Amino acid sequence: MKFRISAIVAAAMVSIVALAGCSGGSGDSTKPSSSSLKGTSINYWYWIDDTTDKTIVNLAADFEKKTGIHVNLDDSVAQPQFYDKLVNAVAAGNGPDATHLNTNMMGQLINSHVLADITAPTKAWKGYDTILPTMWPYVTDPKSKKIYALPNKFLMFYAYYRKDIFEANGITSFPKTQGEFLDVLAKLYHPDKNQYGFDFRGGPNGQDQWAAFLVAGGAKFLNAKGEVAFDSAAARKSNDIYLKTAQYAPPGAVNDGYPQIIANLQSGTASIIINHLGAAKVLDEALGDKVGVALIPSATGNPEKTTYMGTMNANAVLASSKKQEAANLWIQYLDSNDAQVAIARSTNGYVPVTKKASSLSEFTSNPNIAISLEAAKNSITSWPLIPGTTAATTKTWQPLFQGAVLGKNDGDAVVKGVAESLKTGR
Amino acid sequence: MTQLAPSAIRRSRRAAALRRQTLPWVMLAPALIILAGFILYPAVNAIWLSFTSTNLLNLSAQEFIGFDNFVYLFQRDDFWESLRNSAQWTFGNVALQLVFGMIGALILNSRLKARGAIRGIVLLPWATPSVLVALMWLWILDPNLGLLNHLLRALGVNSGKPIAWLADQHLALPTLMGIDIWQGIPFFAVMILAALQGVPSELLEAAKIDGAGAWKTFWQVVLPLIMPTVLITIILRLIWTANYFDLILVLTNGGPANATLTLPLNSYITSYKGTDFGAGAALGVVQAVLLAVLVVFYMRQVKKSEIA
Repeated sequence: MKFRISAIVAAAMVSIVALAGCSGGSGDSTKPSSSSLKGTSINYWYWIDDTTDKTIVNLAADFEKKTGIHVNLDDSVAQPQFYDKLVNAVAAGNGPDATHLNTNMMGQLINSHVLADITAPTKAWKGYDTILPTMWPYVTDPKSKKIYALPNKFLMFYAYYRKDIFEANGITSFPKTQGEFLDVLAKLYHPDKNQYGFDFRGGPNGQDQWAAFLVAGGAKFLNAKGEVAFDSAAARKSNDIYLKTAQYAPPGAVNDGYPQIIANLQSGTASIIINHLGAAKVLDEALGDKVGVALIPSATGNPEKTTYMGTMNANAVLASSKKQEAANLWIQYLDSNDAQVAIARSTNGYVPVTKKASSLSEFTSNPNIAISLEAAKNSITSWPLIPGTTAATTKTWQPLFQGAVLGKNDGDAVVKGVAESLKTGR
Repeated sequence: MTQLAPSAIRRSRRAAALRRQTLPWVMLAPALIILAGFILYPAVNAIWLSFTSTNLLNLSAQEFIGFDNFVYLFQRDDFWESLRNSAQWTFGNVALQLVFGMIGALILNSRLKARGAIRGIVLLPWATPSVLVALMWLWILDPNLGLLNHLLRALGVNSGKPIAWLADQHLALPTLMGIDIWQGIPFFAVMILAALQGVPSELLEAAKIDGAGAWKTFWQVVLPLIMPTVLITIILRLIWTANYFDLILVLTNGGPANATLTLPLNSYITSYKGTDFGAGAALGVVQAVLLAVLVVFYMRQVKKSEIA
């Protein structure tokens, strides 16, 4: 009898303690759900373009104050080599607990079961409804509909152009259709003055500019069933127009990377480039009012009937992590409104992903963020989260596109080759 | 005095012989273990990878596929393009580095004012990290803003459209070769200089007394004496140049349109960008087999030098 009473009392006490632990998470989404997470240390890898920016360092310190979870930050590798480093670490079994990722990297990682499925904790998270609904497709597997990352920094592609050069050539508005785009480029082409039209960036990572143009021209990556549908009449037509811009491009455009297109726009050698918000600060500082922004010309000329392409830097938890709960709390914290505002204000900031932050006047009055939000208002897409995206974007596109510009292969081979790579991953 | 039995003497001699035979191996063991761990194991692993379908992100799904990777590669245009480019890159660079390095060494071996300082300065291209060299030349060669085109325009050499050094599929590889030749000349110059300084002056004087001119002295007296050093330098440079891709990766990433794609760069792109580590390893194996021919030649030269 005594034993039975003691057992019942002990069980009741355990239940009370367990319930007390569970109730701790309801008030503040950044507090750990269990006191056992306090004192936990997690590893988080990320890259930053401006290495003097301390925003993430400050956020990690604030997170630790609130949760007791220490975040070991590693930003030692620049973006171009980041994926290589992550692959090596995963293969060696010493990857981080959480990592920053670009959506172009995610398909292969999801397919290889590297990323943790965070659908359940994300939908249970109080902050889930604070994220702009259009952000979720960027981090959701198109077939399984599972969530593998949290959106963090979002970018839309749009055009930057030299307003002063446009004015000098009697061009009063930025072209709305892709046909008009070619006509405008012809007017901007003055090789005797070292002034050219559109620097299309044929070098590394130029596939984003190219794809953004084709998507605005009506190309789709996937059909409704989630199958690759990139090789289409609309894609080939838009690709053909894009290749025709090469005749008005600055010399060397076929090999240009990001620094070259920025330098060419700054110097006036190029009159138009396509990029995302990442170029805004440097161009605004160099050119001030001389630089304008506009939506990428589309097939229809009507933004409401156009899909625009964006890209996303997200945060994910690795499936191999033994501290997934703590890692999840960290990446959720980075999506809190305060963190989003801090990140968007920083020199490494992009467009915020939360409803509240993205509606703040300090951002909506910024023309670069405003154009991004305008593009995102309509139908948006990104390189799909499928395994073939990595090969298509980093291996297949460049030689085929450059070959088409230089006459080594025909233009349709670019669309066909990229579509094949998206399907096969080779 | 006790005498040892013949069998005990034989045992003792065998033990001493065994110690003499095994002691060198024991002394070499640490180095051999490191070599096995850092060179032999990765090499064998790479050969194994080339016969598999491997995704480093999901090693549990690795499967043996025999020669499929090689068949896949041999059917691809980019493989043959990279093989051709590698041959041009490797042999072209080393040949010109040899010629200019030899000239440089002969000049540095003569009585020059500030010879010591000049010898230090000429090493700068060789001593500069290759990524910095690439970034520097990326801007020098920029068609619109670069120094080289501005100089050519100022000198009246080219007043037409700016030359796109790295964006023209016929110019890109020769341009990259020019940069590598500039970077590699100091190494040849220093190696050959060291060999030149080992040539006995009495032989040179004897040749002079016999009426030999400068060219004949060089060709018939100096060159045979420095040939072992020259050969070994050539072999080493061929192997290093064949494997070198930092410059190409930064400047052109193998473009435009694979005009500068070499075997090691193709291996890197196939592995890390295509996440096809089996095919990437197969490219590495092909390169290793081709370089093995050079290695065998090098080892024969080393053996000949030892015998000499």
